[in-house]
Amino acid sequence: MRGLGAAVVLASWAWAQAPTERLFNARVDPEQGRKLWSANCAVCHGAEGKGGRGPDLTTGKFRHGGTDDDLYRALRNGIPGTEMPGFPLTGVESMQLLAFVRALGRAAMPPPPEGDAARGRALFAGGQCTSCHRVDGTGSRIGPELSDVGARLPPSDLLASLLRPDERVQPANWYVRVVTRDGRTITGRRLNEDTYSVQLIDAQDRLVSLVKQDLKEYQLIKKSPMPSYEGKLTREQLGDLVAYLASLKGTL
Amino acid sequence: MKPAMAAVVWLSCWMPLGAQVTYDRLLHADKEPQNWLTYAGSYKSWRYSTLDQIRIGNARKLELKWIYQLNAIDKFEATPLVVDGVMYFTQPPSDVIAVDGKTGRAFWTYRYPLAGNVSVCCGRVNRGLAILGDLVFLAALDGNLVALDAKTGKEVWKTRVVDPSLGYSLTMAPLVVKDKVILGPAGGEFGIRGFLAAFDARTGKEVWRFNTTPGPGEAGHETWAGDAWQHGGAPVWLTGSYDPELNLIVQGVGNPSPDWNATVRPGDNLYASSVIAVDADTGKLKWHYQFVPHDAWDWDAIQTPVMVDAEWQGQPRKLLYWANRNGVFYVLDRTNGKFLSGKPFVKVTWLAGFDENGRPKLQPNSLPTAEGTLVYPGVQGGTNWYAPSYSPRTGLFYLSVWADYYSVYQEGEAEYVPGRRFNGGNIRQPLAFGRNATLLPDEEQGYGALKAINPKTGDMVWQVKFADLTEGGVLTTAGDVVFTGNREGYFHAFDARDGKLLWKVSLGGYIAAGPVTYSVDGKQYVAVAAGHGMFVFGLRE
Repeated sequence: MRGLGAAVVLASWAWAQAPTERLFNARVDPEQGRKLWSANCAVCHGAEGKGGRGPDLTTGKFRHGGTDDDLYRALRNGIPGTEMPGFPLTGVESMQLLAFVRALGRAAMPPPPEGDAARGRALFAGGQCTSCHRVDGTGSRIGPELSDVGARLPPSDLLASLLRPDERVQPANWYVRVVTRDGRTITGRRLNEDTYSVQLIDAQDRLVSLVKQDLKEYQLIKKSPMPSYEGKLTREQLGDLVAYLASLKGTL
Repeated sequence: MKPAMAAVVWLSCWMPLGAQVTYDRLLHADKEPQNWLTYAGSYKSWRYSTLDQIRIGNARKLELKWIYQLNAIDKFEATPLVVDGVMYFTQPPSDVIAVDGKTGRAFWTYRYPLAGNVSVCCGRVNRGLAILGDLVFLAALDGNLVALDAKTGKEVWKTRVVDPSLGYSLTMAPLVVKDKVILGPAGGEFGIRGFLAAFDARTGKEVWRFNTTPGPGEAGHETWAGDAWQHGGAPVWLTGSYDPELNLIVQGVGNPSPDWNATVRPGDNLYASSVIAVDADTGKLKWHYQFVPHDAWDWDAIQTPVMVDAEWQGQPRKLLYWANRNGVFYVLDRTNGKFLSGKPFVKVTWLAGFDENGRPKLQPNSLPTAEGTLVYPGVQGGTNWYAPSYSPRTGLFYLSVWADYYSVYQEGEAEYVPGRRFNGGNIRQPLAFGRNATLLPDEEQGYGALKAINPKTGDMVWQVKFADLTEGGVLTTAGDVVFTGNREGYFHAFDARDGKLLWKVSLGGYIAAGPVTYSVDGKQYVAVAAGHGMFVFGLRE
């Protein structure tokens, strides 16, 4: 009974407290995404996304911005000057639909050859990756920690992150770029923010807290500071890197 | 015998010697601003104090005087009472603590033995106490009304008001009027049958009851089909106001059950989502106004009724100001409930105007469907139970708002099972509700703010936007300072005229209660519940 009671509390929706529908962190169900696609999008973009009245969405390229944030806005508000209307979907539904649209784009992305995790590890350690990312206690903390990334993301998402890093940036990885009144520019990953202040970690792993009143400029960056490795790494190197990242399952 | 003498003799018949808080003191609570004698500061419920030691020019000198740390994990929504230097407040779920207003040191703690079978929709909370004579009244979560000796914290009497196994609970601060303790139950999410009831302050015996879902033979029964009234909700979970000249208790009533499946309860569903005015001696209905007939969105009219005597279109009138969960600011005539005006204070998509009687006209396609209907405001409302304030000095009405966000309201199965949830659907919304600031809502999805409204026009005069949403109650003073807190844990003092920030402090915990002010030995204090502590501030000396 106690368990049931807890479930009832979690399911609550009424006046004082609502459970959190964490938009960008929502657990995504691709099957739901397909249903939403069929009901809302297929009529213009085609059942398989190849286009029709609306453009082909299987190329992985989006004319009006391809980040989750861009797509979410387009879905919610429509695209001015086009026939694309806004859709009254909830946050979670939007994310499910976006996941499906992403999957359409992935189909156009040829998978890299099966890689070698040991070579990938060397590439990771020898390249610039550790200047932002941390794995098993080594590397900077400014970027997302990757020690368990293989447990969190499938290889196709790992590859997509390397080729199109702006597509999906979790709010916990959003960046802040500020200019202080005395002219210093500080960039870092946002750790917390409220009406009057912002907390971040900078490229030197320093924990920085800034009062907004003391800033000349304040910018929240929802894109990734990581470059795309499309064309910069060979297909074999990409395969090795994905194999290495997929092998990182965390220690817990 | 002179009449005044007779009254004294009559009172002394039941009030113990040296009884502190007479009804006369409650009636004139605004004349003793050193105290905070009722939930909303006075029967008019302005949450305004004539204390002016702390003012615009010196609010920046506020500093912490003391903290009382709770021994609790539940959300702290209580407004304290202050009586002659002693502060009384509830510790959630249902304990009562009396402390010294100057030092925060406890005189006594009453630990309520809470039953284990309480179902609540939204937290094991309590919003405050009432006092009369030497008795402090607690509406305990599991359905008991308890009278405690204000000097010792010992139980004097206890009355079972509702049965928690059927989904009823008590969360509100009771209202004392004359010799009666007035309250009603929460439990709209469980298909209860709501009511407002009065209990004899001496004995705890029920004196009258007004059913907020009328049964056969009661006026308004025809606004329900079949037996839907039996589980029709219309809970009463926030303290009302009292007009002594009219002898009327003005009380907000919650939404009908099931929340989002209105199809199973055809009709207007009186007196859900309404304000009712009942005779304080008999509980008989004098008038009502229904903000949302046939409410299908969970827009409880659970707000503090703010009573102001002012000119309305050139005529002096007894007005009622009401910022409703449905996103509309109303002005009513509180002698008869007549609708005078209604104007949205946040984005509202369900309303297409009012007919000549003030009944709202619905926009087409606003009712919930199985697929879901997108409506502004979202389910938590444009505001909610968060205590508003009215300052007679600025003439402005101040409130916490959740602005410009929607919910998708989805109708679903509604089968009544005693003690179980009876929502009749689901709610989906884009707002990322969260205490963690890394998950702040995008402003495009809506925002939280403190708003000042001109009640004469319903227009916004100023607002202060916050990074997160806010559930803070509001306090205004004759020093022209507005105090409020928010979810981020900031407690602020703003200039009541223009919203300029005068002072703020980070208390490190969610603020979801109304601040109060009082004074002891000529020094003004401001108190607010934050996180799991009662924080008290005064001027630096």
